[in-house]
Amino acid sequence: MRTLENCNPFVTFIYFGFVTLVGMFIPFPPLLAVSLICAMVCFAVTPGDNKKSFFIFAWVLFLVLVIVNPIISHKGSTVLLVINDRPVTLESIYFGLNSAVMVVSALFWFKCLTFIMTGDKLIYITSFLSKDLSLVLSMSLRFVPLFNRQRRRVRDTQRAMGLFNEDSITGDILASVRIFSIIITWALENGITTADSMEARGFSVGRRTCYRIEKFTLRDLCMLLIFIALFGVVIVNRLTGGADNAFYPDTYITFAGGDAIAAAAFLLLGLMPVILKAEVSLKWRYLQRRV
Amino acid sequence: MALLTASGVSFYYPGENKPALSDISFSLESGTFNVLAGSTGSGKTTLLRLIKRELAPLGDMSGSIVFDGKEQSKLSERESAMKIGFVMQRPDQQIVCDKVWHELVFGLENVGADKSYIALRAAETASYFGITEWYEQATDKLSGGQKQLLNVASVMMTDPGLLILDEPTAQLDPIAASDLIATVKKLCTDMGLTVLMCEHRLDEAVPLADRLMILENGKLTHNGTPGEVIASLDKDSELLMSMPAAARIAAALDSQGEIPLTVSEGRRFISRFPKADMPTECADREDARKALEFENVYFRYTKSGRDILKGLTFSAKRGEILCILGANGCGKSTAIMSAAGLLRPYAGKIKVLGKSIKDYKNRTLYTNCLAMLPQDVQTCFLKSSVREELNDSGVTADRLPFDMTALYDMHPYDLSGGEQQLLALAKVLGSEPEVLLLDEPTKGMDITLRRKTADILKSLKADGKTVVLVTHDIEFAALCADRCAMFFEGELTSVAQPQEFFARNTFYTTAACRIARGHFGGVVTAGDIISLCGGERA
Repeated sequence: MRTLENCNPFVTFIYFGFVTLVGMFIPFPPLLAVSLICAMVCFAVTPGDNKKSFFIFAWVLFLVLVIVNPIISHKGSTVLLVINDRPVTLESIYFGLNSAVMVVSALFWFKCLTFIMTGDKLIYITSFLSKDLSLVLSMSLRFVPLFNRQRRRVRDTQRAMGLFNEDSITGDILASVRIFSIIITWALENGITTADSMEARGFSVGRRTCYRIEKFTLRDLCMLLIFIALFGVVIVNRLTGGADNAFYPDTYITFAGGDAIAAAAFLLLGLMPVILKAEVSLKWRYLQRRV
Repeated sequence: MALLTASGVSFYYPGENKPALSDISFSLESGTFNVLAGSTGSGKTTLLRLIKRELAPLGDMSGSIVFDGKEQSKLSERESAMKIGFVMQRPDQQIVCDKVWHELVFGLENVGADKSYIALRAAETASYFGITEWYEQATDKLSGGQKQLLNVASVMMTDPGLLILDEPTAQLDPIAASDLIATVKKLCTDMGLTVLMCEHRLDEAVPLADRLMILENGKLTHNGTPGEVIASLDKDSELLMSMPAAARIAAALDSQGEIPLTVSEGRRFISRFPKADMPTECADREDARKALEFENVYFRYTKSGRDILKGLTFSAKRGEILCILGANGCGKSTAIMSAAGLLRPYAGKIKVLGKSIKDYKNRTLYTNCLAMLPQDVQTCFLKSSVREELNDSGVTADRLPFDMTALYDMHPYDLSGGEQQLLALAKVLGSEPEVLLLDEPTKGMDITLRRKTADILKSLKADGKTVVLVTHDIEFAALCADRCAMFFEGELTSVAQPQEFFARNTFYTTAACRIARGHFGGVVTAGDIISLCGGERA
C-alpha cells in the first residue's frame, strides 16, 4: 500500500530526478508536452499548501516567457511583422513556446517534489552522504520556524508594551531593525544552550550511528526498476538519434516510430504517481468489499 | 549505597576572589529523590553543572566528586555522557532535532549504539512516557510541558543512573509542572533512578523528596529529610515561606514532633485546634467605573476552527486587581491578547476605559492607556544590558518599585526567570499604562519574588491603576486579587472575591483552603490558618 508519497525516499527522489532530467535536457516538443501534462496532473492530485496561487504564478510566467523570446530574439526565416525595424519571427515564437513549456513543467515537478519530499525524507537521503550534514539539516529545519515565531512574538510584545508609538514609516523600520538585532542575540543564546544540551548527551563521543525508520521493500525495488526501464527507453531513443528537432532557421520536428514509443514510455513514467494512487485506492475498495 | 559522593568541593569562577561554592560535601543514595533548594545566586546551578562533567563551568575546582565508585575525571566520555542525565530550564533550547523521534534517539546515535537496540529503546521509552501519540510530530508543535517531558524521556533513553534537573519547571504552568515532578518521582520509585533536582516550586517537590539540601551563599547549610530540615529552619526565613503550606503552619506554631508536608497530613495536624471562622471582609465598590469591558466576545483562530472565546462577558473596575484562573488552553491568553488589540474577535465589543478598542486610532491605545506583558517575557527585551533596557523605556532607578541596581550590568537574557519577569514589569510600567494586562506573571519566580510582585501590583492599585492578570498560580491569586474569576470553555464561569471564590472551589483552590476545609471557614492563605490557631502571622 505504498504510493509515491510513502515509499522509500530514495525511490521518490530518483523518480523526480528522472522526470526533471528528461524535461530539462531533451527539448523535444512532444516529450515536453507530455511532461507538462503529467506534471500538472501530479500537481493536481498531490495535497499541499497554497496550490492555487502557485498555479496562477506558473501560468503568468508561461505567458511572459512566450512573449519575451520573440521580442529579444530575431533569428528565424519567417518574418511575421516588423516592429521598430526589428523582425518578429514565427520560429522565435515557437522557440519561446517550447522553452516556456519546459520551464513551467519543471516548476510543477519541483513543486510536487517539495510537497512529497518532507524534511525527514530529505534528512534520510543526506544521511547517506554525510551524517553530520543530515544533523545540520535536521537542526536547521527545527530552527527556522522557531526563529520566525520568535520574531512575530517580539513584534507583538513590543507593540502591546507601548514602546513603538511613533506611527510613521521610519519609526516602523527602526523598530524592525531593533527587533532583528535582538532576535540574532536570541538565536546565539539559543545556540549555546543547544550546544550544551548536545554535549551533555554525548555529541562529541564520536562514532555516530544514524537511526532511521525507512525500509526498502520489494515493492520499492519493483517501482525503481520500472522507473529505470521507462527512463531508459526515452534515453536510448535519444542516443540513437531520435527526438530530433530544430527551431532555427526553419522549425521542423521529425516524429518517427521510436519517438512515439519514447513519448508513450514517458507518459507512463510521468503518470506513475497517479497510477500508484489509483492502484492503492482500488485495492482498498476491493479489500473493503470483501469485509 | 552512595551513587554520588562529593567531598570538600569548592569552586572559584575565573578572576573571582569569592568562592561560588565552598567546601561542599554530600552523598546521594542510589534510588533516592533529592531536592536542592536555595535562593537565586546561591550556586545551585554551578553545583549541578560541576557534577555533569561536560557542562562544568570554567574555573578552579578543588575537592572530589566520585560517581559510582569512580573519580569523576576517570570516567570515560561514553560513561559520563550516558550515565549522568541532565535536564535544563528552558524546554525549547535543549531540543536539538526537528522531529520527536529523532530527538529521542539523538543520545544513542551519538554514542554509536546498535540500530536494533535504538529501535527497542525508542519503542519502550515512547510507550512508558506516553509520547507515542506525538512520536512523528515536529518538536516545535509541542506544548511546554510536552517539550520538557520529551527532554526527560530523551535523557532516559541512554539509561542513566543519575538524573540531574536544573529548575525543570521554571517555564511551565503549575499543572504541567506538577505532572513533570510526578513523572520524575515515578522514575525514581519504578526504576531506582537517583534524582538530584533543583527547584523553586518547593511546595510540589518537597513532599516527594527523600532528602532536602539547602544551599546558601555557596555553602551547604542544611542536608536531611524534609521534616528535619524544615524543623531546623529559622521561623522568619524566606526559605520557610516557600515550603508546603502544611509545613509552614506547623513550623510557625512551634509544633513538636513530625512536621506535616502534604495536605492530608496538614488536615490531621490542625484537627487538634478548635473550629473557627475567619471574619468576612466585604469591600465591594459598586459605583466604580469600568476600566476594561468584554461584551459577548467571540474569537476563533481559523475560519473553520472552534470558538476559543464563546460570548465572553466580564468587566474590570478601575483600581482593582482581577485574577483570571483556568486550565491550560482554555483561552485565557487569547482573551488577554484580544484585550490588548493583538487579536481581533469576530463578534462582540471590547471597551478600554469606556471607549471601544476599535476607536483607538494610530496606536493611541498603547499610549499611557493600556499595556500587556506576554507569557514569554524574553520577547520584551531589545538591549544588551539591564541599564540600557531601563533607560530605553524611560524608567529611572528612583521610580522603580524595587531595587535592581545589582543587576544593572547584566544581559537581560542572563537573568533568572523571575528576575526577567520583574525587569519586564519595570519596562512596561515605563509607558505608564492605566490598564495593565499580565499573562502568567509569576512564571519562574520563587516565593520571595512572588511576594515582591504582589506588593508591586498592590501599590499600582493604590495609585488607581487597573491590573488584569491571567494565571495558573492559585497561591499568587490568593495573595493579591480583589476578585478572582474562573475561565472555562471560552467563558468566565464564576467571579467572586477571593475568600468566597476559594471557599467555594474544591479542587481549584489554595493548599491552605484544602487543609482548612470543614474545620476553619473563610480561609485563603496559610497565614489565615496560623492566626486562627493562635500563632503569629508571618
